[in-house]
Amino acid sequence: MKLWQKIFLYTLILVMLAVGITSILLLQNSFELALEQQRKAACREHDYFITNFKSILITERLRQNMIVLPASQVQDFMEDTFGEGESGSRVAFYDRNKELMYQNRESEADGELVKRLLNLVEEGEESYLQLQGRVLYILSRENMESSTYYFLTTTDLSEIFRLHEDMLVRVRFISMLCALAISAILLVVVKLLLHPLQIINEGTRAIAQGEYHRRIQEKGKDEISELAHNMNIMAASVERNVEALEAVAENRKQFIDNLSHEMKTPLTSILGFSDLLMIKKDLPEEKRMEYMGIVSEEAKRMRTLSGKLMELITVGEANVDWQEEEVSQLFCEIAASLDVIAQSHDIILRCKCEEGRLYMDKELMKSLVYNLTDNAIKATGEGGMIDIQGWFEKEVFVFAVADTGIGIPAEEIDRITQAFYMVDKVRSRKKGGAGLGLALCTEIVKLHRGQLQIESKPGQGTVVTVRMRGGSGCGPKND
Amino acid sequence: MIRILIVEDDENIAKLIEATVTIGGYEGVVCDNGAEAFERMEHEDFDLILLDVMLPDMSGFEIMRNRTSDTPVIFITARQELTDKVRGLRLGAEDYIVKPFEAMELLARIEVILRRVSKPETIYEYGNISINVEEHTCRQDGELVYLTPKEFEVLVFFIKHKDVAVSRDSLLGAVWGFDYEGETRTVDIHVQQLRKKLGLKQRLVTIPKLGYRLESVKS
Repeated sequence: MKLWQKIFLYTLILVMLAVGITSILLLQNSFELALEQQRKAACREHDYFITNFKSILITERLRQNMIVLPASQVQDFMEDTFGEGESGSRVAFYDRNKELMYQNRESEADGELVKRLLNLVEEGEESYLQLQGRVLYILSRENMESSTYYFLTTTDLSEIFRLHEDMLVRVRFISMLCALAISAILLVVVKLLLHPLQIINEGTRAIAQGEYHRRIQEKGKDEISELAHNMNIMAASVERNVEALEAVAENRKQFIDNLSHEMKTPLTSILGFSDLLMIKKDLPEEKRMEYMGIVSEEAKRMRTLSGKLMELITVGEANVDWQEEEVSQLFCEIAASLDVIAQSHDIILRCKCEEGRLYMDKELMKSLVYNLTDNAIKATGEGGMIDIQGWFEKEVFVFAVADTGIGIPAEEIDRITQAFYMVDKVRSRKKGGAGLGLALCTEIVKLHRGQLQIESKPGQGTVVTVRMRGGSGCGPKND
Repeated sequence: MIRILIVEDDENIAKLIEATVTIGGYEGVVCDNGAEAFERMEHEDFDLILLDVMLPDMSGFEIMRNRTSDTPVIFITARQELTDKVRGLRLGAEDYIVKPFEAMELLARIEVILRRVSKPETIYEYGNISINVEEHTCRQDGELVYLTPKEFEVLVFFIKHKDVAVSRDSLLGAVWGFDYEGETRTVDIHVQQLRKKLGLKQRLVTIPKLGYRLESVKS
């Protein structure tokens, strides 16, 4: 059952119960009051009748100057006083032997009851009052003219009972009407109150089905709007996470796409040319040499690529060996080994580094400096100059690799640290680049919690600056 | 001579494709960027275009969408996802070759396309054998030699690629179609029949592990 149906039904049942019980109790109460009043009235009537009758008897006795009136005369007086009547109370007299002396109206079948009452009154009580069916019987023992009589009045109360029953029917009918009216109002109220819940329900379902950008309308300040608000917070965080996941997936897909392209290009040449060498008969010597050259060149490209890739993957896995090392010594070593390459390209390489100690992974640091300098050499033509400088700013170690090479267009700077991104693919390939060097450098710097900054002017050169904390023995950073 | 435009940004692959089409007896024209390729496509006359999908300036798909000529195109790409393939073919490409590919596969595919779109040469001569494709006849020293249709096509393929080692797979692809799922035994039977019928035992040689080669007649 739906919540609105439950609320509606329970409220309706409770209200109906309350209304019904209250009205029935009230009705019962007023009925009892009316009955009591009737009873009192009947008693008064009974007393009034007998007192009157007694005074008439006394007056008559005095008038006749008798000591005691005989029973027959008393009976005549009864007839004179009460006569025969169709309306009003029924009156009856019984003599000492409980024989009916007079009644103003024939009664139906109440003989048994009257007999019982007569016996009761005879045994002790002065008078007796009994409600039988809808008729009230009042019997009293009276001493008149030195004899005992029994006086009975019966009052018909069916009018009150009829009235009560009538009221009950009417209350039932009114309750029905009330129930209808209340249920109509309740229905509207409950629906109105729970409507926001339905909106939340629909909104949540939509969000669950993937519409993560969707938000639920928040109205008012009740619990439901609070719920909507919290739902929205949840949806926002889900959306953020999904976006982040999608971005990661997209990045990964891009990386795989690029990787497969970068691997397939040399593979195509290697397979293709070796195929040609195999199937073609009588290939001229110079062609054969050319093809073999290409195969070897492309195989070397694959070697560079796989090497760089391995480096990138191991850096990602972060098995870093933290050591405090003397930086100037490290830089001199790298510069010396790179100087050979620089000289072969007719490039002047200068290296100057302040003495100091830095917490780092020596191999990764070497790779970083090597890659940056290698990039500089690739970008710089003959007669160019590369300047490596390192210095300390308090505990921050800063080093910069500056070249006088071709530079990087401003709009490309943001993208060159992406894996496989090359500003000039043809040129990079000729120089044996795989497009992974800067991606690797970024990873290494990130691992050392440093910053890598690239400034460049096309045609004039590039300066790559790296800043790393944890220099001059201020403790390891990987706490 | 049939001219083929090769659009490929990697220098070595371009060289490879050029060398491959030369074996097939076509003239290859290399072009290493999309813009130039588009210009040449629009203004020059080629019989076939081999188009790399990933070019530095614009994608092969883009070129395909914008071009106005209806020269047949074969896409050459490193991406082998089905969606790319479907996209390429839907843009009107005749075929789709995934890198890395074999030289003979490329040649065979080129041949299938060319046979479909252009009128092939009708008469081939090989030593004392002359073949008329239109009449579907083969004569040796003027005498008619009866060949089944497939034997005939195999012979034509060999004559077109003299001095090239042809693998059973590529022969199967070129003659029976690339979706034919028969066995390479079929090729062996046809080659044996050809040898017997035309007395080519000496010149249609078996190359171990590779396939067959028809050696050119030294005059």
